[in-house]
Amino acid sequence: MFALGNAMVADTALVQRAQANDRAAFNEIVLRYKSKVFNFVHRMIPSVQDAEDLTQETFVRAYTSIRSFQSRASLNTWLFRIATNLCIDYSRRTRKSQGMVTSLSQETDDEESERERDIPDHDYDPQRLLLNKELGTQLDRALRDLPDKLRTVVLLYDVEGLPYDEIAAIAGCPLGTVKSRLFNARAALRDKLAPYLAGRA
Amino acid sequence: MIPNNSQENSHCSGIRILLSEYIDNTLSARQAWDVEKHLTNCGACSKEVREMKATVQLLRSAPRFDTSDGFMAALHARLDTVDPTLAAAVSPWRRLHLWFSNAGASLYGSRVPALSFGLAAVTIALVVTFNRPGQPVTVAPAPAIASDSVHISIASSANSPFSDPAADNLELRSGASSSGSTVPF
Repeated sequence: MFALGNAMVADTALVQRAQANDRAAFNEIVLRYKSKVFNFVHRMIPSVQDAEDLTQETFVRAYTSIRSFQSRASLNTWLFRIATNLCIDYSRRTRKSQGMVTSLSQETDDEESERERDIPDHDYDPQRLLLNKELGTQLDRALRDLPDKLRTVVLLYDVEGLPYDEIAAIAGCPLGTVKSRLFNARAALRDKLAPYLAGRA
Repeated sequence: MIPNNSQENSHCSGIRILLSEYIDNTLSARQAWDVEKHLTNCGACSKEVREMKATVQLLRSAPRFDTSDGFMAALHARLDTVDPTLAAAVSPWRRLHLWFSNAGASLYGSRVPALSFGLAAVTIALVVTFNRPGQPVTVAPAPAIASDSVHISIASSANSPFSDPAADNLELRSGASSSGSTVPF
Protein backbone atom coordinates (compact mmCIF):
# COMPACT_ATOMS: atom_id res chain seq x y z
CA MET A 1 0.00 0.00 0.00
CA PHE A 2 1.68 3.17 -1.18
CA ALA A 3 -1.13 5.68 -0.83
CA LEU A 4 0.41 7.69 1.97
CA GLY A 5 -0.81 11.17 2.79
CA ASN A 6 2.49 12.94 2.17
CA ALA A 7 4.07 12.40 -1.25
CA MET A 8 7.60 13.01 0.09
CA VAL A 9 7.16 10.42 2.83
CA ALA A 10 5.70 8.00 0.34
CA ASP A 11 8.70 8.45 -1.95
CA THR A 12 11.09 7.79 0.92
CA ALA A 13 9.22 4.67 1.89
CA LEU A 14 9.20 3.46 -1.70
CA VAL A 15 12.92 4.06 -2.05
CA GLN A 16 13.67 2.13 1.14
CA ARG A 17 11.61 -0.79 -0.10
CA ALA A 18 13.18 -0.65 -3.54
CA GLN A 19 16.62 -0.62 -1.90
CA ALA A 20 15.62 -3.90 -0.26
CA ASN A 21 14.96 -5.38 -3.74
CA ASP A 22 11.21 -4.84 -3.61
CA ARG A 23 10.38 -4.76 -7.31
CA ALA A 24 6.77 -3.72 -6.67
CA ALA A 25 7.99 -0.61 -4.88
CA PHE A 26 10.28 0.26 -7.78
CA ASN A 27 7.37 -0.34 -10.15
CA GLU A 28 5.37 2.21 -8.17
CA ILE A 29 8.23 4.72 -8.50
CA VAL A 30 8.20 4.22 -12.27
CA LEU A 31 4.44 4.64 -12.47
CA ARG A 32 4.68 7.81 -10.42
CA TYR A 33 7.42 9.49 -12.45
CA LYS A 34 7.42 8.04 -15.95
CA SER A 35 5.09 10.64 -17.47
CA LYS A 36 7.02 13.58 -16.01
CA VAL A 37 10.36 12.14 -17.07
CA PHE A 38 9.13 11.21 -20.54
CA ASN A 39 7.56 14.62 -21.16
CA PHE A 40 10.84 16.30 -20.26
CA VAL A 41 12.96 13.87 -22.27
CA HIS A 42 10.70 14.16 -25.32
CA ARG A 43 10.96 17.95 -25.19
CA MET A 44 14.73 17.53 -25.09
CA ILE A 45 14.83 14.72 -27.69
CA PRO A 46 12.45 15.06 -30.64
CA SER A 47 12.37 11.38 -31.66
CA VAL A 48 9.54 9.59 -29.85
CA GLN A 49 11.33 6.25 -29.96
CA ASP A 50 14.63 7.65 -28.73
CA ALA A 51 12.85 9.63 -26.01
CA GLU A 52 11.12 6.48 -24.81
CA ASP A 53 14.40 4.55 -24.89
CA LEU A 54 16.11 7.27 -22.86
CA THR A 55 13.24 7.33 -20.38
CA GLN A 56 13.61 3.58 -19.95
CA GLU A 57 17.36 3.99 -19.57
CA THR A 58 16.73 6.58 -16.86
CA PHE A 59 14.75 4.05 -14.84
CA VAL A 60 17.16 1.21 -15.54
CA ARG A 61 19.99 3.35 -14.15
CA ALA A 62 17.86 4.37 -11.22
CA TYR A 63 17.12 0.69 -10.57
CA THR A 64 20.76 -0.32 -10.65
CA SER A 65 21.82 2.59 -8.44
CA ILE A 66 18.90 2.71 -6.04
CA ARG A 67 20.94 1.17 -3.22
CA SER A 68 23.37 4.05 -3.18
CA PHE A 69 20.65 6.70 -3.37
CA GLN A 70 20.54 8.84 -0.26
CA SER A 71 17.60 11.00 0.60
CA ARG A 72 19.60 14.23 0.65
CA ALA A 73 18.08 14.99 -2.75
CA SER A 74 14.48 14.25 -3.59
CA LEU A 75 13.68 11.30 -5.80
CA ASN A 76 12.29 13.76 -8.34
CA THR A 77 15.59 15.68 -8.47
CA TRP A 78 17.61 12.48 -8.73
CA LEU A 79 15.55 11.07 -11.61
CA PHE A 80 15.60 14.35 -13.53
CA ARG A 81 19.34 14.57 -13.00
CA ILE A 82 19.85 11.13 -14.52
CA ALA A 83 17.48 11.98 -17.40
CA THR A 84 19.16 15.34 -18.04
CA ASN A 85 22.60 13.77 -18.26
CA LEU A 86 21.34 11.08 -20.62
CA CYS A 87 19.65 13.67 -22.85
CA ILE A 88 22.74 15.84 -23.06
CA ASP A 89 24.96 12.86 -23.81
CA TYR A 90 22.50 11.79 -26.51
CA SER A 91 22.38 15.31 -27.91
CA ARG A 92 26.16 15.47 -28.14
CA ARG A 93 26.36 12.09 -29.84
CA THR A 94 23.63 13.03 -32.29
CA ARG A 95 25.23 16.35 -33.16
CA LYS A 96 28.51 14.61 -33.81
CA SER A 97 26.97 11.98 -36.05
CA GLN A 98 24.29 14.03 -37.81
CA GLY A 99 25.31 17.63 -37.44
CA MET A 100 22.04 18.73 -35.83
CA VAL A 101 19.23 17.36 -33.69
CA THR A 102 15.92 16.97 -35.49
CA SER A 103 12.91 19.02 -34.46
CA LEU A 104 9.72 18.06 -32.75
CA SER A 105 8.00 19.73 -35.66
CA GLN A 106 9.96 17.83 -38.30
CA GLU A 107 7.99 15.50 -40.55
CA THR A 108 8.42 11.82 -39.75
CA ASP A 109 7.92 8.71 -41.82
CA ASP A 110 6.46 6.88 -38.87
CA GLU A 111 2.69 7.30 -38.84
CA GLU A 112 2.41 6.19 -35.23
CA SER A 113 5.04 8.68 -34.13
CA GLU A 114 3.26 11.44 -35.98
CA ARG A 115 -0.03 10.57 -34.32
CA GLU A 116 1.57 10.64 -30.85
CA ARG A 117 2.95 14.10 -31.47
CA ASP A 118 -0.38 15.55 -32.47
CA ILE A 119 -1.41 18.33 -30.14
CA PRO A 120 -4.71 17.56 -28.44
CA ASP A 121 -7.02 20.55 -28.81
CA HIS A 122 -10.73 20.49 -28.18
CA ASP A 123 -11.31 23.91 -29.68
CA TYR A 124 -13.08 23.42 -32.98
CA ASP A 125 -12.48 26.91 -34.33
CA PRO A 126 -10.42 26.07 -37.46
CA GLN A 127 -8.60 29.40 -37.56
CA ARG A 128 -7.63 29.20 -33.92
CA LEU A 129 -6.69 25.55 -34.36
CA LEU A 130 -4.38 26.51 -37.19
CA LEU A 131 -2.87 29.35 -35.16
CA ASN A 132 -2.27 27.09 -32.17
CA LYS A 133 -0.67 24.45 -34.34
CA GLU A 134 1.56 27.02 -35.99
CA LEU A 135 2.48 28.45 -32.60
CA GLY A 136 3.24 24.97 -31.28
CA THR A 137 5.44 24.31 -34.29
CA GLN A 138 7.28 27.57 -33.79
CA LEU A 139 7.72 26.83 -30.10
CA ASP A 140 9.21 23.42 -30.89
CA ARG A 141 11.54 25.04 -33.39
CA ALA A 142 12.60 27.79 -30.99
CA LEU A 143 13.23 25.25 -28.22
CA ARG A 144 15.25 23.09 -30.60
CA ASP A 145 17.50 26.02 -31.42
CA LEU A 146 18.33 26.75 -27.78
CA PRO A 147 21.64 25.46 -26.40
CA ASP A 148 21.19 22.37 -24.21
CA LYS A 149 21.97 24.26 -21.01
CA LEU A 150 19.28 26.87 -21.63
CA ARG A 151 16.73 24.36 -22.91
CA THR A 152 17.20 22.16 -19.84
CA VAL A 153 16.55 25.02 -17.43
CA VAL A 154 13.55 26.50 -19.22
CA LEU A 155 11.91 23.07 -19.61
CA LEU A 156 12.48 22.16 -15.98
CA TYR A 157 11.13 25.50 -14.75
CA ASP A 158 8.36 26.47 -17.12
CA VAL A 159 7.18 23.08 -18.34
CA GLU A 160 7.88 20.79 -15.37
CA GLY A 161 7.38 23.45 -12.71
CA LEU A 162 10.47 22.63 -10.65
CA PRO A 163 11.80 25.29 -8.23
CA TYR A 164 15.12 27.07 -8.77
CA ASP A 165 16.99 25.10 -6.10
CA GLU A 166 15.99 21.72 -7.51
CA ILE A 167 17.06 22.82 -10.98
CA ALA A 168 20.38 23.99 -9.57
CA ALA A 169 20.88 20.51 -8.09
CA ILE A 170 19.92 18.82 -11.35
CA ALA A 171 22.08 21.05 -13.53
CA GLY A 172 24.93 21.15 -11.03
CA CYS A 173 25.24 24.92 -11.09
CA PRO A 174 24.64 27.80 -8.67
CA LEU A 175 21.20 29.32 -8.18
CA GLY A 176 22.27 32.55 -9.88
CA THR A 177 23.31 30.60 -12.96
CA VAL A 178 19.88 28.95 -13.11
CA LYS A 179 18.22 32.38 -13.02
CA SER A 180 20.45 33.84 -15.70
CA ARG A 181 19.99 30.78 -17.93
CA LEU A 182 16.25 31.03 -17.47
CA PHE A 183 16.29 34.70 -18.42
CA ASN A 184 18.47 34.05 -21.48
CA ALA A 185 16.30 31.11 -22.58
CA ARG A 186 13.08 33.08 -22.24
CA ALA A 187 14.57 36.09 -24.00
CA ALA A 188 15.75 33.90 -26.88
CA LEU A 189 12.35 32.22 -27.16
CA ARG A 190 10.58 35.60 -27.02
CA ASP A 191 12.77 36.94 -29.82
CA LYS A 192 11.85 34.02 -32.08
CA LEU A 193 8.18 33.86 -31.13
CA ALA A 194 7.44 37.60 -31.04
CA PRO A 195 5.90 37.69 -34.54
CA TYR A 196 3.49 34.91 -33.53
CA LEU A 197 2.59 36.35 -30.14
CA ALA A 198 0.90 39.50 -31.42
CA GLY A 199 -2.57 38.36 -30.42
CA ARG A 200 -1.47 37.02 -27.03
CA ALA A 201 0.95 39.65 -25.71
CA MET B 1 9.02 63.17 -17.88
CA ILE B 2 10.07 60.76 -20.61
CA PRO B 3 13.80 60.00 -20.51
CA ASN B 4 15.89 60.47 -23.62
CA ASN B 5 17.20 57.45 -25.55
CA SER B 6 20.63 57.19 -23.93
CA GLN B 7 19.20 57.43 -20.41
CA GLU B 8 16.50 54.93 -21.32
CA ASN B 9 18.96 52.43 -22.79
CA SER B 10 21.30 52.47 -19.81
CA HIS B 11 18.40 52.09 -17.41
CA CYS B 12 16.73 49.43 -19.56
CA SER B 13 19.74 47.13 -19.52
CA GLY B 14 19.71 47.13 -15.72
CA ILE B 15 15.99 46.48 -15.60
CA ARG B 16 15.81 43.97 -18.45
CA ILE B 17 17.82 41.31 -16.61
CA LEU B 18 15.21 41.42 -13.83
CA LEU B 19 12.21 40.91 -16.07
CA SER B 20 12.27 37.11 -15.97
CA GLU B 21 12.22 37.09 -12.17
CA TYR B 22 9.67 39.91 -12.20
CA ILE B 23 7.33 37.66 -14.17
CA ASP B 24 7.93 34.84 -11.68
CA ASN B 25 7.27 37.22 -8.79
CA THR B 26 10.55 36.23 -7.13
CA LEU B 27 12.12 39.69 -6.89
CA SER B 28 12.46 41.53 -3.61
CA ALA B 29 9.83 44.19 -2.94
CA ARG B 30 12.38 46.94 -3.68
CA GLN B 31 13.45 45.37 -6.98
CA ALA B 32 9.84 44.79 -8.05
CA TRP B 33 9.04 48.41 -7.24
CA ASP B 34 12.03 49.58 -9.34
CA VAL B 35 10.87 47.44 -12.28
CA GLU B 36 7.27 48.65 -12.08
CA LYS B 37 8.39 52.25 -11.84
CA HIS B 38 10.52 51.76 -14.96
CA LEU B 39 7.76 49.98 -16.86
CA THR B 40 5.37 52.91 -16.44
CA ASN B 41 7.82 55.07 -18.42
CA CYS B 42 9.33 52.60 -20.88
CA GLY B 43 7.26 51.27 -23.75
CA ALA B 44 10.02 48.96 -25.00
CA CYS B 45 10.44 47.15 -21.69
CA SER B 46 6.66 46.98 -21.19
CA LYS B 47 6.36 45.29 -24.58
CA GLU B 48 9.16 42.91 -23.65
CA VAL B 49 7.39 41.96 -20.42
CA ARG B 50 4.13 41.31 -22.26
CA GLU B 51 5.85 39.13 -24.85
CA MET B 52 7.88 37.26 -22.26
CA LYS B 53 4.73 36.58 -20.24
CA ALA B 54 3.03 35.25 -23.37
CA THR B 55 6.06 33.05 -24.06
CA VAL B 56 5.99 31.65 -20.54
CA GLN B 57 2.25 31.07 -20.82
CA LEU B 58 2.81 29.22 -24.08
CA LEU B 59 5.43 26.99 -22.47
CA ARG B 60 3.22 26.25 -19.47
CA SER B 61 0.24 25.36 -21.63
CA ALA B 62 2.25 23.22 -24.05
CA PRO B 63 0.72 19.77 -24.58
CA ARG B 64 2.25 17.03 -22.47
CA PHE B 65 3.54 13.78 -23.88
CA ASP B 66 3.10 10.39 -22.29
CA THR B 67 4.74 7.02 -22.77
CA SER B 68 3.34 4.41 -25.10
CA ASP B 69 1.17 1.54 -23.86
CA GLY B 70 4.07 -0.89 -24.12
CA PHE B 71 6.44 1.18 -22.01
CA MET B 72 6.07 -0.69 -18.72
CA ALA B 73 6.31 -4.15 -20.32
CA ALA B 74 9.44 -3.14 -22.24
CA LEU B 75 11.00 -1.60 -19.13
CA HIS B 76 10.37 -4.67 -16.99
CA ALA B 77 11.83 -6.85 -19.72
CA ARG B 78 15.00 -4.77 -19.45
CA LEU B 79 14.96 -4.80 -15.65
CA ASP B 80 14.69 -8.59 -15.71
CA THR B 81 18.15 -8.70 -17.26
CA VAL B 82 19.63 -6.49 -14.54
CA ASP B 83 20.62 -7.56 -11.05
CA PRO B 84 20.50 -4.49 -8.82
CA THR B 85 22.62 -6.17 -6.15
CA LEU B 86 25.47 -6.64 -8.63
CA ALA B 87 24.99 -3.56 -10.73
CA ALA B 88 25.27 -1.20 -7.80
CA ALA B 89 28.98 -2.09 -7.53
CA VAL B 90 29.37 -0.47 -4.13
CA SER B 91 32.64 -1.19 -2.33
CA PRO B 92 32.56 -2.70 1.21
CA TRP B 93 33.88 0.55 2.71
CA ARG B 94 31.25 2.49 0.79
CA ARG B 95 28.54 0.11 2.08
CA LEU B 96 29.79 0.61 5.64
CA HIS B 97 29.72 4.37 5.16
CA LEU B 98 26.21 4.21 3.71
CA TRP B 99 25.04 2.02 6.57
CA PHE B 100 26.31 4.50 9.15
CA SER B 101 25.00 7.39 7.10
CA ASN B 102 21.51 5.94 6.93
CA ALA B 103 21.55 5.07 10.63
CA GLY B 104 22.80 8.53 11.53
CA ALA B 105 20.30 10.23 9.24
CA SER B 106 17.39 8.34 10.68
CA LEU B 107 18.43 9.19 14.24
CA TYR B 108 19.67 12.74 13.97
CA GLY B 109 18.87 14.12 10.52
CA SER B 110 20.82 14.36 7.32
CA ARG B 111 23.77 16.48 8.51
CA VAL B 112 25.12 13.99 11.03
CA PRO B 113 26.03 10.86 9.06
CA ALA B 114 29.70 11.72 8.59
CA LEU B 115 30.04 12.53 12.28
CA SER B 116 28.28 9.31 13.31
CA PHE B 117 30.64 7.37 11.07
CA GLY B 118 33.64 9.03 12.66
CA LEU B 119 32.36 8.50 16.21
CA ALA B 120 31.70 4.85 15.44
CA ALA B 121 35.29 4.54 14.24
CA VAL B 122 36.52 6.10 17.50
CA THR B 123 34.39 3.70 19.53
CA ILE B 124 35.69 0.67 17.66
CA ALA B 125 39.28 1.86 18.05
CA LEU B 126 38.82 2.35 21.80
CA VAL B 127 37.20 -1.06 22.25
CA VAL B 128 40.03 -2.75 20.40
CA THR B 129 42.63 -0.86 22.45
CA PHE B 130 41.11 -1.52 25.89
CA ASN B 131 40.15 -5.16 25.28
CA ARG B 132 43.71 -6.47 24.88
CA PRO B 133 44.31 -8.80 27.87
CA GLY B 134 47.59 -8.29 29.69
CA GLN B 135 48.53 -5.18 27.74
CA PRO B 136 49.11 -1.80 29.36
CA VAL B 137 46.45 0.71 28.49
CA THR B 138 47.69 3.10 25.81
CA VAL B 139 45.10 5.50 24.52
CA ALA B 140 47.03 8.01 22.47
CA PRO B 141 47.53 6.46 18.98
CA ALA B 142 44.04 5.15 18.26
CA PRO B 143 42.06 8.30 19.14
CA ALA B 144 44.52 10.36 17.16
CA ILE B 145 43.87 8.30 14.04
CA ALA B 146 40.14 8.22 14.71
CA SER B 147 40.11 11.93 15.33
CA ASP B 148 41.77 12.44 11.96
CA SER B 149 39.09 10.32 10.34
CA VAL B 150 36.40 12.46 11.96
CA HIS B 151 38.05 15.60 10.62
CA ILE B 152 38.43 14.10 7.18
CA SER B 153 34.79 12.99 7.15
CA ILE B 154 33.55 16.40 8.23
CA ALA B 155 35.86 18.16 5.81
CA SER B 156 34.75 16.02 2.88
CA SER B 157 31.11 16.62 3.78
CA ALA B 158 31.71 20.33 3.87
CA ASN B 159 33.42 20.25 0.51
CA SER B 160 30.54 18.44 -1.15
CA PRO B 161 27.42 19.00 0.93
CA PHE B 162 25.23 17.82 -1.90
CA SER B 163 27.26 14.91 -3.12
CA ASP B 164 25.11 12.32 -4.80
CA PRO B 165 26.90 8.99 -4.68
CA ALA B 166 24.20 7.35 -6.76
CA ALA B 167 24.62 9.84 -9.55
CA ASP B 168 28.39 9.64 -9.18
CA ASN B 169 28.21 5.91 -9.71
CA LEU B 170 26.34 6.32 -12.92
CA GLU B 171 29.35 7.43 -14.93
CA LEU B 172 27.02 9.10 -17.36
CA ARG B 173 29.56 11.51 -18.67
CA SER B 174 32.41 10.07 -20.61
CA GLY B 175 35.68 11.73 -19.78
CA ALA B 176 34.36 13.46 -16.69
CA SER B 177 37.44 12.74 -14.64
CA SER B 178 38.79 16.27 -14.81
CA SER B 179 35.89 17.83 -12.93
CA GLY B 180 34.76 14.76 -11.02
CA SER B 181 31.14 15.71 -11.63
CA THR B 182 28.52 13.67 -13.45
CA VAL B 183 26.74 16.80 -14.55
CA PRO B 184 28.11 17.89 -17.90
CA PHE B 185 27.65 21.62 -17.40
